[in-house]
Amino acid sequence: MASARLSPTANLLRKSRLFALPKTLNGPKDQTSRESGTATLPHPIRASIVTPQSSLARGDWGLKRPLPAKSTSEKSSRPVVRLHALDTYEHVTDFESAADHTVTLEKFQEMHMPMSLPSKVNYATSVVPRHQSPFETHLDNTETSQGLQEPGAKQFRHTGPWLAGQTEAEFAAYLKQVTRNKPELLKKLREQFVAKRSAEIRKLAQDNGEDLEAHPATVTDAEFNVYIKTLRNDPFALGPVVFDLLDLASPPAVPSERIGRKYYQSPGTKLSSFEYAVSGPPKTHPSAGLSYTRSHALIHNHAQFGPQAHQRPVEARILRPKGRFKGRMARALAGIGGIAVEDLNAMTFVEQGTPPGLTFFDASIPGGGKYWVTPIRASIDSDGRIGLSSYRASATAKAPYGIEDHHKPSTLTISDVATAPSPLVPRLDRQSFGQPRFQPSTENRPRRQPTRGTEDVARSLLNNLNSRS
Amino acid sequence: MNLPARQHLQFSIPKMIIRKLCMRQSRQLLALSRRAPVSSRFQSTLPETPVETLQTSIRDEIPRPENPLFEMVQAQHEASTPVQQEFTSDEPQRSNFKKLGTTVKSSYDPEDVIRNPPKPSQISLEMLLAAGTHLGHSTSRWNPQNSRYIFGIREGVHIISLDVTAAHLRRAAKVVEEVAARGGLILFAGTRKGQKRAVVKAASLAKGYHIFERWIPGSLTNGEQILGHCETKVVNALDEELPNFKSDLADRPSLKPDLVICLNPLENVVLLHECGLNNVPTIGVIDTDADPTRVTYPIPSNDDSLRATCLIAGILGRAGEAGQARRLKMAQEGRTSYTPITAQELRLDPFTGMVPGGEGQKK
Repeated sequence: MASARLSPTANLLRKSRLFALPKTLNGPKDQTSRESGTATLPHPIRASIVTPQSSLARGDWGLKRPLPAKSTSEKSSRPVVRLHALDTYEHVTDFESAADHTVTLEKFQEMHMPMSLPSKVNYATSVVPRHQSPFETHLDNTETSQGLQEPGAKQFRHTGPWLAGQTEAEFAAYLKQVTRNKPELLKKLREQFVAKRSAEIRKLAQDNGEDLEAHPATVTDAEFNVYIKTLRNDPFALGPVVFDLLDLASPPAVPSERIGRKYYQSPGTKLSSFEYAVSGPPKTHPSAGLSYTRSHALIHNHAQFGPQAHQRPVEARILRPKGRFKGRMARALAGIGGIAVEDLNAMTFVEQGTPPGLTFFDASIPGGGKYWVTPIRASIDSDGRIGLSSYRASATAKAPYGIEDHHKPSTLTISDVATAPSPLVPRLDRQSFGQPRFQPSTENRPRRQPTRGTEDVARSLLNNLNSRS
Repeated sequence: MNLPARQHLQFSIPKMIIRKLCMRQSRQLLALSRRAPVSSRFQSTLPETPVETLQTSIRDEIPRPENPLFEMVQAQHEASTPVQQEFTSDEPQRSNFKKLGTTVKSSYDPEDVIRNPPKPSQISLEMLLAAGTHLGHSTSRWNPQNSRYIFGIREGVHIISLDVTAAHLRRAAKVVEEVAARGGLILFAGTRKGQKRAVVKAASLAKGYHIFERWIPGSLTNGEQILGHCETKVVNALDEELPNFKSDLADRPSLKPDLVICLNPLENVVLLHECGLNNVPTIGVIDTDADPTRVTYPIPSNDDSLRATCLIAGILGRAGEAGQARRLKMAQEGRTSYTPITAQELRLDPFTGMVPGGEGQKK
């Protein structure tokens, strides 16, 4: 009906694909990821654009002007771009490759991981927290969901802000907004009070065996003012009412010895995961759309050996070995499918069979340090980052696929010379005095023989004298 | 005139092939009775379908038993190996199933806009939207004279109104068609990279001329020097060349176009300026940063997208094609929509208006 009133141009433009591109999201707040301007953001904030092959060959992406082949079709076989500006003052379309996020998504989907709700993985106890899918009906709720009425239902979003994560200025602005809405809030509070009062009356009538509809709950202004006054005098009672009225996410639990005798008590958290209660509600849906499978109960079939308990291990690149980093002991960091992951097993003190490069940096490994891991759990934290945890792949997981961690050649091997039947040992440290550091040529020089007794000593002495003169 | 010649051709080709067949293979075929190599492509044709092929014509011409080629011809119809037999037995079923399934009726082919450009009557807002003609330049780049073509601002760029573009494009197409119908010379100029094919195609449709490289400054204002050596010809109303008048063209000034279509006016300011000096009407694709007063008939549109400019060039080319067709049809009926020049006038000196070499010349 609204579209009928629009002009045909407006109607078409509103439906066009270019205008349907979603708005840019706010970038991640923390500054650690902004240290580098070229670093990949923890989560995408712009839509990725692809184009069919026939149009790609002409550079046609449906944008203001064709994109240059040099940075699209000549750079990649499946270019994906993200758009910064359709046109700028310099007459260029500002775009960059979006392969960093799209390829990471593809790699993640190849791992066949379901998304879980975040939970602290404690590596010391080698007990993996239970997988809990964010798609369960009692957890997958927003503030408007129907399922929120069910007893024990949790939600992953509140309408109110997360007070613990607000700055001073943000909190002041929020206070001002709440003060402006005071009449509506009081009206809402009164409705809640009426509902509470009627429930009490019904309960009383039920207990006394009277007619339930006989006494309708009526609240006078005086009664309501008394109710407000009692709430104000009792912080323990006021706290839950305020959180409910403003639909705020409960703050994390504070140890009771740290706070005074009287404090505004907060109700138990309604967020779907304890991690979200600690670090704030998630920015996205807790699955972030990365995977829609609910469980990890898949059986991976091997063509030759049949069903396997573990899926095919994934190769992880060692980004940072274990050790001191910025003044504190840190676990090893590994990159699994484009996602940085802390190595779990690196906490145990006795390490045997650790892949090379994990405990200290090793430049001798060809292609850099890598090892095989089995991803076990993936979740989205409240900043929208992927939290992946993994174990080192066990020998049984690796065996069917014939894959092995890199083995350094052992330093304890006995050299060929020692095993040779001849008792002669070449003198490697001997270098004549005036001899240049590079060998001129081995052809016209007499081949130096290994030292053997006094004759050889004399011969080498002669050689030295000859070369000096 | 044409028809008999074509029929003759149709008859002559099979004969020639038969002759070649006999020349090449008859001697060997007679010597050894081996089966001729059968190309599998012949097998794929339906035996039921009465197609006039080479084999059937041979069979009809030559009586069966005496023919040494009979065996070879017959071999192509018999399935010899089990695989071939199976293939031919499945053929009816395969042809039955061919009718099943879906066919994709309209799919987007980017080449279509150059190979088969749409007619001016087919202009639709959807077509223009798909080509991206609505995307203007950054708002900081705008020319305020274009404000009447602009629909609004989105994501920092001006959006050109699609229906304004369509209206101006239709008007420009009409201009091109009428100029072509009156026998005018039309010049298509698109000097950006990638516009070459569209410009050439449009010019060939409209029987006009094209520039896809640099416009040499002065080609209009100083045409004697720059284009003086170029060839000109005299044609009649049916576009047939009249070589008898060749000598009369010697003293004539270089030709000037009657309409110039410019796909990128920003780079061709000199061309448009010269057109203005010489009273040549111009049609130009005007983006939001271009000056619309540079051209006579602006088409407000995105001039950076190749798809958009190819579409506009194609539509104008089609319009020219329609105008030329109309003109030639009228000429065949003996009418013209312009006052034709007489042979007498053509022979006169262009500067003096006198008969060359006559008494007038001496004065």
